[in-house]
Amino acid sequence: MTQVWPLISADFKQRTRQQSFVVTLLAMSVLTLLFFPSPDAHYQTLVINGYRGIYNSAWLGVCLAMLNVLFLPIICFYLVKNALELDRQSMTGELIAATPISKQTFLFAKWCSSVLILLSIVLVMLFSSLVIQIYYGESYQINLWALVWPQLVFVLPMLLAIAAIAIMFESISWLKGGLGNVVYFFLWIGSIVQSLESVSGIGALLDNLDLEIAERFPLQQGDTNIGVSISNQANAIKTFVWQGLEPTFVHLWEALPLLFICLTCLVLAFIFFDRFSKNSIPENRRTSWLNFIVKTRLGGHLDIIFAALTQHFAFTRLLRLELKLILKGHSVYWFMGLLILNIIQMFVSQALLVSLVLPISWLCCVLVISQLGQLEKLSNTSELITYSKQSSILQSFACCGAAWILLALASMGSVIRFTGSAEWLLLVQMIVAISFTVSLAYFCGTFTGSKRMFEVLYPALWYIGPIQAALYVDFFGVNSQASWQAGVPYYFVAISISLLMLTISAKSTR
Amino acid sequence: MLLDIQSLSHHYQSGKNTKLAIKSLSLQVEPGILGLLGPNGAGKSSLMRILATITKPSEGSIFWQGQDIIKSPQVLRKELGYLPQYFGVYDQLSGIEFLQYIATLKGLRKSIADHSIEHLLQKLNLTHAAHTSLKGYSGGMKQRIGIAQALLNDPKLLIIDEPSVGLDPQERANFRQLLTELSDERCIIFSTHIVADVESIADRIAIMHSGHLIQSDSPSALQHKIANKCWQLSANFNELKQMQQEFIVSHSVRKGSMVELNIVADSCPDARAIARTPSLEDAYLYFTSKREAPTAYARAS
Repeated sequence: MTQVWPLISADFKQRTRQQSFVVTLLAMSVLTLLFFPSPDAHYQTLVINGYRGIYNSAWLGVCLAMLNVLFLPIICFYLVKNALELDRQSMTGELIAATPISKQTFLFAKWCSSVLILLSIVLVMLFSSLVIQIYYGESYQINLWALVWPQLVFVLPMLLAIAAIAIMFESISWLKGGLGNVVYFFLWIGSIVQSLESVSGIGALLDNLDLEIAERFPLQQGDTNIGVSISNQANAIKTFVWQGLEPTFVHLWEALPLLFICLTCLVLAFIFFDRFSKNSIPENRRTSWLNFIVKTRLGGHLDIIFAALTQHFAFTRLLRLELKLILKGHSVYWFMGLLILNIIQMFVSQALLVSLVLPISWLCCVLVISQLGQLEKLSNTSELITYSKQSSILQSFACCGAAWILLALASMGSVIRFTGSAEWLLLVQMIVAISFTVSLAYFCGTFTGSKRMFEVLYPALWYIGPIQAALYVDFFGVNSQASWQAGVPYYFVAISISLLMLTISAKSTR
Repeated sequence: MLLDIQSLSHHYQSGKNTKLAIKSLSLQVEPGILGLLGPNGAGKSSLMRILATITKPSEGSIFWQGQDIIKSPQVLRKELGYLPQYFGVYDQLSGIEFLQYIATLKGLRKSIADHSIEHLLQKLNLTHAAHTSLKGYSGGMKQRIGIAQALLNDPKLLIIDEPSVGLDPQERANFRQLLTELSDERCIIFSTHIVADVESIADRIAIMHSGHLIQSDSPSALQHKIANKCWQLSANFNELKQMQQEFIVSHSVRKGSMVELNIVADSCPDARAIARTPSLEDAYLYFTSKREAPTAYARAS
């Protein structure tokens, strides 16, 4: 351990001495404050049978654990999925590869520093809960153990697993990029359902609370909710004093599956980690026959036509080049997948098309348009571009236009279909949705300087909006009539324009 | 102490073709400085990465003091110092923290690491910036930190790829001096395409071209091989272009309305030309140009 500690320490310092880490800690603190609304707030978070516990240490500890179990997996994964990427991007990997450090020691140190980062977040959240208890003053009796043990029993094993999963994703070549981010998002969606319905862990705790409240207040039958529930009547939620419970061996036993996942992921990371032996220049990539035909031959011919069409104006020439830039380097199978989805769009039922096939077609473009706003940074051409470009506004429009064209091409089957059946409202909604997607990608890329924000945010919006049909998040208008009645497309037009203008003005001042 | 490279080949896929980075390269490296010269794309960096145990070669063997390092890379890693051409640092750490980190990766005991770090920071004139974040380092300072990390474990084999990039003339001279001091008791492989960097310090020069080792000898022997092929000629500017097309022009200096050319050619290029003493740069250009289509070689000054 004396050998490993300096590695953990250096890695921890490098990853936490960033402004973004301080912002993350503050954001998590704010999230904690929001999760425990004041008694007169118009929303509630954890309500069981119409009751919530008073804000004492026991209730805050368990609620915080529930919040962490549900939401930390998604937040923390993206936060620590940069342990190996850091060495690859900073090119420190070349130095590390030539040292005698073993793969297992190196990965273990990386895992430990990721765990430390996650623990520091939970510590900040714990501290925030303590402040909340004192501030609301529903109970001034501080019981640190009651506050901490749910985090140790329910949250810590999960943090160990998240850190290991992140390292594993980074070690497997096809999971280390944007595809891994999207894959993990769906794993998380599945894990929420699993956590809540599980007969062990937090699911069992919730059932116990449900039973206890039912026993204590048999006449009261209200709603049970984890998440955000809007309540128009202040104080509609009744409170009770919950003394908490003590951890048992059963609780510890229930953490074993997570520890097993953690161990398995570490073993897999060890197996797949290349010890930075792959050169940053992809010298071993083989071009397949299919790749050659589709991308070189077919793509070449299409480009000649496109070049002829766009040659007359500076903007259209730039638009063509921006489109080429964002499409470069993608697999031929991706192009073929989009083509197949376009064909499917022509033949499925309209309900299925709007609620599933079109969103999937766009989700396929997430990894491509997530580059918007930071292509120069990714390819290290910022300085060349800055002094070369005549107008940052022109470049911004060309860049967004290229992404817009890509999404339009991904939905060409639907465009033909809607036009044929004179579904003009749907067509307008699709245009609004494309514009919103592009401006959001451009905004996220420019302001965060990373692809990750959009890769996480967009699937989340995609899931809550078009898939779960939450009216005000449904930028797609799955339920078209209700959407128009509520004026949702107008909101999204306004948001799109605002995001775009904000981004362009930020780019112009840089 | 010996590094023995036997029939080393390395190839990679590029499109439909298999491209050759290194072809049947055999070389013995003994204590002292081996200058590895070659144009861009000659395979120097591929060879460096293989010797640094980062990449495994397609064919061939490498023995370090009799032990096969392709099968057992750890044997060499303990005694290796490596400075790649392109490398990065943890910019949020201070110079001393970064070196402590690398020292731990190299498995050095804390007391030894601390002593070594202090000594190297002093030697490389970085003591004043030891506690400053690497983010604030200039290019030359980062390069010196790179050199320091390579020397941390007092390596028996030191592999340095284009180390003088970013160093100012004074730092380059200091670095050459440092390498000379170190070269008595270890093997140093110094890869570059700047001949002047190795001319005065290398015990031996290996020249690579298109993945092949085309020459391996002492600097004086290489110069001797082209002893009767070096000429000096004063020409006017109109003749310069023609001379560059026909011969290897290793150096040109403007003198009034004329230009003085150093030419490398098998026979006397012009009746006005006089024989001159060959330099290592002449030898390098002569051997590498023989493998290329005739193009102009000139270094204007």
